[in-house]
Amino acid sequence: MINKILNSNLDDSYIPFDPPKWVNVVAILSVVITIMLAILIYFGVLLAILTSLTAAIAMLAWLRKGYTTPLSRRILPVYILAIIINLVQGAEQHAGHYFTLLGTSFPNIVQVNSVSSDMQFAAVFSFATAAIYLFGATAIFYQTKIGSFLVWWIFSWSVIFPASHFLLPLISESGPALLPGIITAPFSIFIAATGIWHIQNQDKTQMVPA
Amino acid sequence: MTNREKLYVLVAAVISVGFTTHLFHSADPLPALVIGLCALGAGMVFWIKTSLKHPTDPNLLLPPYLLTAAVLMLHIIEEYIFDFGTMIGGLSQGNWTTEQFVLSIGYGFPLVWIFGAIAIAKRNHFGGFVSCFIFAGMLLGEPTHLLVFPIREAILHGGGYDYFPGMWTALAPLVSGLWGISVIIKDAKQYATT
Repeated sequence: MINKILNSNLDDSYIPFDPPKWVNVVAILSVVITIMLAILIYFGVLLAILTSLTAAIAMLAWLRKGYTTPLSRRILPVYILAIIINLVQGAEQHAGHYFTLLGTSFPNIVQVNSVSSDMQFAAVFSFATAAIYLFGATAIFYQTKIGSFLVWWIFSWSVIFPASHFLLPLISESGPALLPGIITAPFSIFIAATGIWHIQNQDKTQMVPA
Repeated sequence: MTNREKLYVLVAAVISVGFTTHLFHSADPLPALVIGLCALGAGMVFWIKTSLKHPTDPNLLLPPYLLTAAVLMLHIIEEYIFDFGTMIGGLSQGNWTTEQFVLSIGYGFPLVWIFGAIAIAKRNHFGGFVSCFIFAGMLLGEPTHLLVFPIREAILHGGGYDYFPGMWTALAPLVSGLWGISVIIKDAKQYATT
């Protein structure tokens, strides 16, 4: 009786773990939406807008290139350089109290949530992202779809976030003209542009095996 | 529909109505609506329209089902730690406590859907019902953690859009849930064409 109940129809033939391709898009969307809401709640509307913009651009670029066929792992050095510049910019921002300055200088356009501070900003936008990006480097090495998305994400973010350092002082008269992070901002944009150039030309610059 | 299928539909309907009524009396219309109408109601319709006549191939259905069940348990942990039961009670006229939440959502529900895995493996009709209920619940119920509960909390108790228990893990089971839905639909279509 017990045997009859517990005897299943399962057999031991090989079944690969093979979810449909679009599951990658749903997984990324669910993670990105959750992250954007967390940033909105804990870091205010400005950073949530910048993250949403990054997500939208990265998603569109990824669907165009990297979703069907993964990006070449030859992008890794530029990608890792982008992680490094992200950390260096984080250090510059932390030293200059970037997040506190945002809240006090641009209260009308930034609406920074008071529960967060420079410490939390560093923990999330520098350390946690560095960890995620480094996991992403492994994903890029194995040419997964999520790895390709992270390539587009880091390059989009490395343009959008530094660019906000130049744009914010233009739309507010009360804030400082030079926001912490502005020194490293051009380097970040340059590395991202180099990365995007590499992706666009990856077919042309494909190395021929010896 | 065979007599056996009718019997399974009847049992599933009794479970659905019984649990929704229990939720309505203990927790208020909001959870009753989310779990009763969205998860159980839509799940039953989905089940009758797809896998009732031909239970889905367990080799295809078990991976997304087990993944969804596992992620759902993680979601319940987040709800439990951050006191979802009391927070929902505060959103409605009900008096749902943490204790009631633990018993119904923490222990009661998981027992049903973990048992459902055996039913799926045995290609039993009950497995079809439980899988459709879980997947429909993920698709229609989980986004409420981001779109309904925090907004209702802000309207009722003031303050802006803020954290609501379960928010960070709400969309995770949706991913494998959608995979499961696609598996059920694909298998049902294949059966219909043969």
